[in-house]
Amino acid sequence: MSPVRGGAALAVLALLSGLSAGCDEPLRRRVPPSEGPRPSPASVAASPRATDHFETSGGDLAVAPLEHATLLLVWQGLAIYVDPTSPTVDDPPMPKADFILVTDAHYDHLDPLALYHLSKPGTVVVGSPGVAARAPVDLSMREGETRELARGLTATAVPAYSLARGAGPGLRYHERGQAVGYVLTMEGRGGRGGTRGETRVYVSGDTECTPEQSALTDVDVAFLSLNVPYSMTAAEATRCAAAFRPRVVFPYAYRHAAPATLDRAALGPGIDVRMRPMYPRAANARARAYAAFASGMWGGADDLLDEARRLDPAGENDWRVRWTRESLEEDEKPWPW
Amino acid sequence: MRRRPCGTPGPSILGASSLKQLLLGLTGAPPPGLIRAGRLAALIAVPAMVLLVVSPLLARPFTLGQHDWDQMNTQREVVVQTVLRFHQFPFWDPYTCGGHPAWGSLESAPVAISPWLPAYLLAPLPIAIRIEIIVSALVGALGALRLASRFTASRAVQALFTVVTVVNSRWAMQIASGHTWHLLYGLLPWVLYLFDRAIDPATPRRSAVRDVIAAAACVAIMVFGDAIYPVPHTALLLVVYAAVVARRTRSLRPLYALASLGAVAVGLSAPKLLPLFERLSRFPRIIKSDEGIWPQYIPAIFTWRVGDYAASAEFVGGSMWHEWGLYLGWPALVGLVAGIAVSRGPRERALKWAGYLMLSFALLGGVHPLTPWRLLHLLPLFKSQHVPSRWLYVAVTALACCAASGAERWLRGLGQRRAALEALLGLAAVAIAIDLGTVARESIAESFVNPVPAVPGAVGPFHLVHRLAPQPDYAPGLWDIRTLPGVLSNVGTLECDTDTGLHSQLRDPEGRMAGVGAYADNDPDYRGEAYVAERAATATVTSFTPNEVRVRVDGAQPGDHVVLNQNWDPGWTADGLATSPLRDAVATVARAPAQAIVFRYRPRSLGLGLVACGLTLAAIAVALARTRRPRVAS
Repeated sequence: MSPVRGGAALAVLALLSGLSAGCDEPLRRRVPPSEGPRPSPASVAASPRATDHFETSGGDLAVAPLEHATLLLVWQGLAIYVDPTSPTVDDPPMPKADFILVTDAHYDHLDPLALYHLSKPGTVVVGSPGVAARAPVDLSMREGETRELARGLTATAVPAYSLARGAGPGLRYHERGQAVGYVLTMEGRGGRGGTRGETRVYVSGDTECTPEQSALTDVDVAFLSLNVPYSMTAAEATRCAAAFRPRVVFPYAYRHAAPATLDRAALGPGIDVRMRPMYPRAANARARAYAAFASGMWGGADDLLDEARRLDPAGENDWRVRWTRESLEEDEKPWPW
Repeated sequence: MRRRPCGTPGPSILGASSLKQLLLGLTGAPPPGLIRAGRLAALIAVPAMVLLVVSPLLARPFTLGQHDWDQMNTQREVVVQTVLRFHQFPFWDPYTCGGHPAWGSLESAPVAISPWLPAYLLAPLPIAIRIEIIVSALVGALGALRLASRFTASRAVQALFTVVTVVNSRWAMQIASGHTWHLLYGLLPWVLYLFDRAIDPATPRRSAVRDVIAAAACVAIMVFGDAIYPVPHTALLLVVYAAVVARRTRSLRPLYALASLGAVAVGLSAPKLLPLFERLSRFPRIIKSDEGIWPQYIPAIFTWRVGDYAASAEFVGGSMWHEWGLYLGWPALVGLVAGIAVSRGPRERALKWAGYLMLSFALLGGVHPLTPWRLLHLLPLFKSQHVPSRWLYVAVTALACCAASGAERWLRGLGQRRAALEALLGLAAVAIAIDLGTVARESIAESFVNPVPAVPGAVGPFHLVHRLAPQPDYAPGLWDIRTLPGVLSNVGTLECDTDTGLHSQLRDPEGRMAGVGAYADNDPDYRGEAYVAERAATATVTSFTPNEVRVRVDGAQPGDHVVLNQNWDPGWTADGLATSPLRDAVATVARAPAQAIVFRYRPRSLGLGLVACGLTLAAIAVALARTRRPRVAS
């Protein structure tokens, strides 16, 4: 063997020993949740994410309150989103959308990234005039307008606006004509006590208690936004619901409000108020924070608690959060020496 | 031509005809061809490795990176746009987080005072980035060769040292993930080389002064380049090194040199440091750091042939592989350990102390309150840092110096055989360079795949949005928040990820990002880029530049607050008077129903910093003049 070959052999030996040093357990490539596979609407409807089910003549209507103002309704295999935002619909991944209804152009209702992630060929994006001015929509609906979205499924735009509150003198958070709520009518036989062939679901969007809202009729399920100061307080929502008397009321988008103060007595009999956790990611982050704290990963626990506070500030009052935070602060105190 | 009979050894370019003769060379005179090949290998190993690692950048010259690169590109583009579009120095960045200091934040305007500024001003962004990356790698490689020359005369060992410590997989994965401060580690070997030369008793005083000044200038460049990790790492390395060498040699020279270096570096970088401290006093960057790794996986850090920067595994916890992996391979790792074991001497002892200390930070991590890293983390400067595995890069550099010294000691004992062994080491350097470079290259190739975002033809007036609309052809990776397209199209984004104190994850109980007083135009509370807080008066922005905004107010009453829709900072003035925060936004008091107000931003401590820098430069000039070699009369 020539010295060239000797040197080369040595180099190859070094290379091979390096190559063979690899570990058997492969690393996993981290794929962004938004790019991962998405479940079918039916699987979400059958999962615990769907907290409520309503019998309609067209089949089961599953309601999945995702976060803040983001809702997913699954009916006849169709995924109908209201105000989807990212990363709520991405982590964990939610199904691609058949219909996306956007109530107003503010950032917690209209998120172009979520629209982009949820869209598939054939997805119909429905928006108010304010939304249409900021993002591409397939259907711009004005107040009072009714459009058929699919066979047996129609949407009616209900005015959503501020009566008094605004960012400053002479201003309203929601000017008339810019935002809308939606009444979704699911056609079929049966429905409300079997007297009508339709089920009507009302999603208020951010609005104060307007005359148009109070004048709604035959609403089976109502989602009322308690997104103070931009929409209704619990007292105003109580007054409004008492006026149009839906069968079931879901307070939602209650980040800075106390939905439990919705006055059931004032609503009277026949109205079922259902409290649902609208900030599940916050609850999940807090659970992970407790686990991290217990296992000594205190920095991680602190970060998770901060993330949970961002998602659900009201949850800071929980005694477990207070106790964990106090313990973490104790750990952060400077050492005596 | 006469044919060689079968069975007889033929000639070779190395001058040795068989492995037997080669092996005999190790005990006797080495074949001259082997010496030549070894020297050639030592010469080409480093440039070949650099070229191999950066080759994906050259193959796709107009792409941008993923992961954190959007933020890094934004920081650079803010400088470019502020200079070229507005003809101003980048003091204020209105484009991210609702506005924050570009000059004086930890990571904001890294190329404003840097050798790379001309490239960014003259070349397209992807090209300028490539220039910064590739030249930084070459600067680091040259510095490593010089540093290694302080510990060994062997070219082959110098090449091995450089191959292992500079553009290894950690460097490549950090660059691939957009941690551009890692590029500033390229100056670390220069600082250590210059400092080591300065404290050498054999170095004349005038040369030592120049070395200290040059090392301090390197540290100042690191500060100006936002080297948030390299600067503290370098500082600690120098402190330990100087202290141990001073103790072992019973000399105060290392300590004098260290103090001088520190003073000059602080003085030179004062225009950046003082605004930075001012900012940190308002928004202290305190990060908890309890990352750790199970001990049985420590060898994997050095031996897994994985260059995927975004890979994750259970054992590396929440961080991705780019924060853990530093592939050396078994041959280099064994050589490193052997070299460290053989090394002797006060400098080597000092570097071992520093290296082992940093290794303990990196490998023990912060899993327990009494680990070295958690104790160091109690100190103010280090309280701002996390991911202790980042110490690994510096630890390997320090320990590789010892290994180089150990190799030199071993080679010296070989006598005539040294030349042959050096030649083999040269060949090994090439093999290891190819192995390490192949792994390192993977992450660069994986990251730089994004095209430059499309820019609208006409740029409109500045305004703030919460988030930019997605662009299908510009997906910077794992993070949803994109800011570069906004800077290019003169649109600011409220949500942000990096700036000190302002972060999408940090919210007050009202749900507002802490310290953010600006509103996006799709926010219910938005009232315009300027407004009067108390009434529906007209406030119109007549001119908007990053450092200066002119507002025309009509219909206000004296005493009303005129608000500029940017986050407040003490550096903002209105018509020369101090402003005040109104719900964290910049506000001043109207003096007349109709008036024009000029809001202007300057870091408050900039003047003091410039004075300190000027005094330092004057002191340097005096020191250099006093150390000039006296002219010999003809």
